[in-house]
Amino acid sequence: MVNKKHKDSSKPAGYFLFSWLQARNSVQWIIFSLLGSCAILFGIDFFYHRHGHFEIEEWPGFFAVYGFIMFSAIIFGAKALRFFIKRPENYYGDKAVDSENQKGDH
Amino acid sequence: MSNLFIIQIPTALIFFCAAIVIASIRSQGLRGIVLLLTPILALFQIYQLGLGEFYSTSLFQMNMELMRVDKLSRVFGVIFCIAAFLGNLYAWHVRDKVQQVATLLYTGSAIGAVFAGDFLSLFFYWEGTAIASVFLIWARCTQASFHTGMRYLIVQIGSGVVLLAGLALRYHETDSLEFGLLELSSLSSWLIFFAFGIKCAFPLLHNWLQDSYPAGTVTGTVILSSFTTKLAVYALARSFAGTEILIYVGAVMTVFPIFFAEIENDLRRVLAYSLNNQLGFMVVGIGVGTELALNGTASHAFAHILYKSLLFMSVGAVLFRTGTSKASELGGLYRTMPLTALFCLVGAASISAFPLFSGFVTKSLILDATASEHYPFIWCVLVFASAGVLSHSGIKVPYFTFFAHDSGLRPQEAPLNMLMAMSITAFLCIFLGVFPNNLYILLPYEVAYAPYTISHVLSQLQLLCFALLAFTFIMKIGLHPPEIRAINLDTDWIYRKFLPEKVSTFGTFAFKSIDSFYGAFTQHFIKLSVFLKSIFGPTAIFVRASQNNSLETILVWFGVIFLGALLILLF
Repeated sequence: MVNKKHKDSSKPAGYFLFSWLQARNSVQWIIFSLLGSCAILFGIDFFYHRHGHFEIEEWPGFFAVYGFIMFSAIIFGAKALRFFIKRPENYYGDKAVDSENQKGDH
Repeated sequence: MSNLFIIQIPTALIFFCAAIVIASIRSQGLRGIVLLLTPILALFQIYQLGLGEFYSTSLFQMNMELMRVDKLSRVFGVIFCIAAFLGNLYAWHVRDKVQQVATLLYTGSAIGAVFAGDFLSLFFYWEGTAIASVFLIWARCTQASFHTGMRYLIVQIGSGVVLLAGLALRYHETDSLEFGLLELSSLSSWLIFFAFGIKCAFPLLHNWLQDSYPAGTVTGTVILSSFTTKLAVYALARSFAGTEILIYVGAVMTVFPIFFAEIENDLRRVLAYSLNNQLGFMVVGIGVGTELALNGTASHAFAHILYKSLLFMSVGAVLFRTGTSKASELGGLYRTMPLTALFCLVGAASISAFPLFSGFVTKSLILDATASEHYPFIWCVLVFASAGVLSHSGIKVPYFTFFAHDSGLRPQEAPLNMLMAMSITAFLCIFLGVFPNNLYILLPYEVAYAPYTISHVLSQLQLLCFALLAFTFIMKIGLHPPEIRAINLDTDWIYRKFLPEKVSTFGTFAFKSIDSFYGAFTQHFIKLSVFLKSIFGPTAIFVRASQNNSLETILVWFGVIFLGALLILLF
């Protein structure tokens, strides 16, 4: 690996890809566009009849509701699971890689 | 072309020969070129051969089919070659000869196993993948990686031993070792099933995967992620297609890793859990066993190897530059690693099956197959798991690495070779997603499937966007589990903590009792020898009386030999 000194002034290639995220309202902008897309996707269901193998698939908004509820269930389920199985990082001692850092060519 | 030397040998041997060549080359650049050319040569050979069986040989009067190229083995062979090329390009900067040789032997074994036409040659290659791949973990050269590698090796070799037992029984029963469709009716087929299951990371047998992959080297883990488990998927598809139990096993596999991935801190372990979840989709496809489902499994394995490599590559690049892959230590890296961030997002979109990315055109085959074979519950589970994939691989990995809070780290962008490997992989993910027919023509059966119907696209987008909305909502109200430096217990706790402690407690107890037994015995023996000495020793009355020194010498020798024999027997 060639270790060139990184200059603070130079911008990495592709900097423009995400630089707009540093604008003040970028997060709000993302949230609003997500809300907008969700509203549109949900709305389409009332005008277009989707086809599926099961009847439940064809209910308007089925996937939207299922996605929202199931995703929340995963997050809260995982949170509950963490309560039982969380252990300190060095739990397995020097026989696990968890408490060591990797540097360099490896 | 058929006269070319290259197509006179099985594909695996191309890799083995290249490994020997690499071991003897000193120039780093030349080694890199050989590493890149070998998979290309192998790919070329696979296409030159066409379909059919080549290179039969016999060992102890058992027929060995070294090269069975049919549509199922070919699609796996092809993607293995592509993965090897991309992995080697990603590892261009690595100077460690051990890793380079191990990579070639590992890749060669995996490809050899895919093209094996009988269980005996499958067994050899099966063990080959185990032995060669462990060096990619050991190459990290730390004590922890040594122990992790040993655990990995024990499980992998164990799988091979079970396979050997199964195939020996099978040979005894049927006089044939053909690597074909089996029925789960006898002990032999159950053993083979179990051996495949270990490598495929079935629930409760899965933990070697999450234990070992985060321990590999930066480049080693990218290589590891592509072959072992997908070889097991291939083996299951070959031998146990349509075995109903696999549907339920696969469904469990898609669900439980999601929760573990969600709270895991090491992002390479998150990806290992997510790999486990993706294998579940493939296993369900094998269990359903229809042409559509098997096509789904093969194509999903193909797409999966690409996007999973891409995700491991991007996290690996971060690890390479920052020295950590822990979510709690990372964040905000888009400022200095924007290209890596972009490639990671492509991988994330592919694994989450966003339309126009590769996961979408392959996963929907499996979902459709379960629906059309009337497994409504399994279908619901798979849709649930699809939302789960988004939660850890789609959001967690890119978000907590490249965005979220600013960790203050300002690492340099990934090296050029890594960027090249990632860009080609990302291109393939999008290319297959936009032009799925290029993938479908490789599949084992004729495909009459249109992934891009309005219903399909709409339902998938609804699912994903509302899951994203749920994520945003949960983040906003601050209920998302925070990234903290911790580990989580899994089934490996049983053999890493519980059993060793119990065994050592039992061992100490047993040792103490044996010790006290021998202690008592030794004391009696000493008393006896003192008594004997008092009678026959140099100070004894008889001896003094007779003045016969030779008896004393004999007695000493007798005692020495007796004591020596006792020592050998007891200890």
